[in-house]
Amino acid sequence: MTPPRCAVVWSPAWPLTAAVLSGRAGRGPQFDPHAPLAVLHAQRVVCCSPAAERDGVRAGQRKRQAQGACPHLVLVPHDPDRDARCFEPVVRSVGSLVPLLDVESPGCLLMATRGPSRYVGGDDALAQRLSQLAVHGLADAAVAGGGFGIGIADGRLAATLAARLAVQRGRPVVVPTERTTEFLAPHPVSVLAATAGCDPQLVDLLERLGLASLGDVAALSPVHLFDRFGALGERLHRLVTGADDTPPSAAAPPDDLSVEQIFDDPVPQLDMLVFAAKALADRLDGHLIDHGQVCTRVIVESESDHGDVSRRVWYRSEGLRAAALVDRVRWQLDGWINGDDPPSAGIVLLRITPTDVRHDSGTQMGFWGERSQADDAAVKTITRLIGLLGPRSVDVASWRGGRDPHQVYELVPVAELGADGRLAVERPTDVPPWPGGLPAPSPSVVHAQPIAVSVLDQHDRVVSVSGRGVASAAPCTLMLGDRRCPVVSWAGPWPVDERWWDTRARRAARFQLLVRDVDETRAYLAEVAAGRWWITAEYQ
Amino acid sequence: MSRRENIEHLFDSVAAMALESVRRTLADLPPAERQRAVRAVVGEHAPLTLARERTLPVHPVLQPLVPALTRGHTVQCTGTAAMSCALALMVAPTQGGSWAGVVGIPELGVAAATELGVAVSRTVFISALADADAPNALSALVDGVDVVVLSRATTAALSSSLARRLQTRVQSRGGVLVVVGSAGALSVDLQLVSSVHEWEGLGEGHGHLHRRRVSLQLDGRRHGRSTRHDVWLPGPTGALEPVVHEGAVVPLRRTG
Repeated sequence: MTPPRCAVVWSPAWPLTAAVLSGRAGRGPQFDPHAPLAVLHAQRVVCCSPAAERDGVRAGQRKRQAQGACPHLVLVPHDPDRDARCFEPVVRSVGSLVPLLDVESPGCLLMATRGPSRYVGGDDALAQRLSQLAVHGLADAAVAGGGFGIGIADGRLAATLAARLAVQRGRPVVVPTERTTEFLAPHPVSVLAATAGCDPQLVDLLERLGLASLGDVAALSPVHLFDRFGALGERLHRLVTGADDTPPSAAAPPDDLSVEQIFDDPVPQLDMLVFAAKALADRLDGHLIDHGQVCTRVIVESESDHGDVSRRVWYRSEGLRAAALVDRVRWQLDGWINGDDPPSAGIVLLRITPTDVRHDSGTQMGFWGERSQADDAAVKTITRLIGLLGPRSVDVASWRGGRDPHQVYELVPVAELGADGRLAVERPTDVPPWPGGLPAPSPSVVHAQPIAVSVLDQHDRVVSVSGRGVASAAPCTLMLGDRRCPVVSWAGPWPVDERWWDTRARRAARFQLLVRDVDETRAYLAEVAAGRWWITAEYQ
Repeated sequence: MSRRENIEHLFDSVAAMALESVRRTLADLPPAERQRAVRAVVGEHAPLTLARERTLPVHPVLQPLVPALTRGHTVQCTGTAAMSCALALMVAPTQGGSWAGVVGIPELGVAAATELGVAVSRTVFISALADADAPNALSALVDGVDVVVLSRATTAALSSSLARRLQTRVQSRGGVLVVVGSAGALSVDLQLVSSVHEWEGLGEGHGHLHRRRVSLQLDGRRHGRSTRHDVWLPGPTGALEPVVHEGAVVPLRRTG
């Protein structure tokens, strides 16, 4: 069964383009498109400008690696709202020709081409028109990441790959129907993770099995794939041969699954609408979870009191959970209300309708049946907690590495992770001891805000550490507020001299102190910097 | 019925069928053989963990003191090594696949937790919880994770009725509450009081903190008499280690 012919409009490094445009419009800091720029998210580079790539910065690198490769790197903060807001004009411009658009994410548009192609007179003409419309939407030709790539092919995967090729070649790429499999064959299997939303563990496994390109996987018989991988193997076969991603026997969405909210008084503010959207998304998500499904495509509609309508289709191959749904509703409403063509009255209707659902095959965590019942319950709980308390409230610990106890692990909001499907970065097993790090055991209580104390020697003078790392005298008393605690034993100073070339330079010396507090023995990790003492951690 | 209840039902029916067949087989045996057969069957089926299994595992080094954590109980850790004790209780459940949630303890040292053996990939942290959100958030958390760790910051905000509702929910869901420090209005089933014996490794300006000998005392209304046990918490690598007695020291006595 041949999949529908679709077109993908893709902008590489869209966050950079959005940052530059945002700066030019005065809504954020100014960035020079010709300077080396990189967007960071969760301590990793998401995308970078050509100038940075020339210096050796690549997507996926850690922040320190990137800065090591390019010291003049300008870091752009990660802001999905800004990316979506700047993408609105492009969506509207392309939408003037093609009414039914799928916005996959800011920077990527997907549309069916049968109707528009016939209207404009062929695929090549359509590609040219789309290119013109996209650039016209930007109204600014000098962008940081290069222009738009237009790809037209059968099926989502082929069209996306064609769009990426188009960016490299500088002109639109149209893949004829009969050449789809041929076109897909030479691509490496890593594109499955990057564009089709497959689990990176699956890609890793395919590479280790010796299947390096999509052609290799397509050469395998579908029976063998199904035998080895199950339902996932069937999906894999369909993807690599260019057939449609969603099987014809896909689960029909449960009837009447659209959720809507009608406001008695028209609501003009974005915040209240987002709050209502949160409740709707949670309800929808809860319903879908109970049926073991996740929606991959939703239609978000919003209507004002005077009849202005905003209707957008959102698609995401990994599935849209409540947090992702709320984000997209916010982007759409933000772009509408604060954009060039705002509604003339308050909003009275907000409706979310899922159109494509699929069984939740656990793309988020665990792969070979690692995802247990406990994991399911925990994920459901996390989703509910995020809905109750907000997206930044629930954290997981991600390994970062560092010299001091508060740097080694970082608490990252769960809602920000999930791009590669793993819940947190685990401590790599092959990393050698961190230079200047403290020896095991680590303290069980780490103060993010160090506590100011005072450490005195036997003559009640404050102990200091010279520039050469020599303590002025042996610490004798630790003053915790008003309490005098005699020091039983101590070790140090262990000096730290960081970033001497920067304004964030830090020169300090660390001590371990064992003190007697009333009738208990307590161990502290203390730090002295510029003559002032702080307790950074406790061994409780 | 939701999927989760379906699966629990399945386990119950399997257990019932197994029990029935065992009963029938036993009835056929002569009385002398029955006890041996029962022991054999129990040994065979003991590793099977039913969905309604009522305990959570405990770190082997702590097992002489606390053989297992009964689901539904509230454990309080107090004393100088309270935080380390709470982390030590989290180790075995998280390694066994259960999830843990830490509420209101932003100063928890994650590196220390990892060194003890806590599976941090199955732990969620809620660093700040407003008092108004506490009842709903705690209920939601208790539904989904097996171990919930609270500190004084959260327990102090719970009124006695809220505490009672929370603990009832914990009992019905089969989780365990671990409280670090004062428990406020919560009723405590087990209390682990820690006192530091000694730290080894630190000298006068040299060395570094190597290991700490902690004396743990188990009290509580579910526990008859209090028992003591010494452990190295933490040991040199940050993990729990048992205290091995090299040999009893016998004082020499002059004879003759």
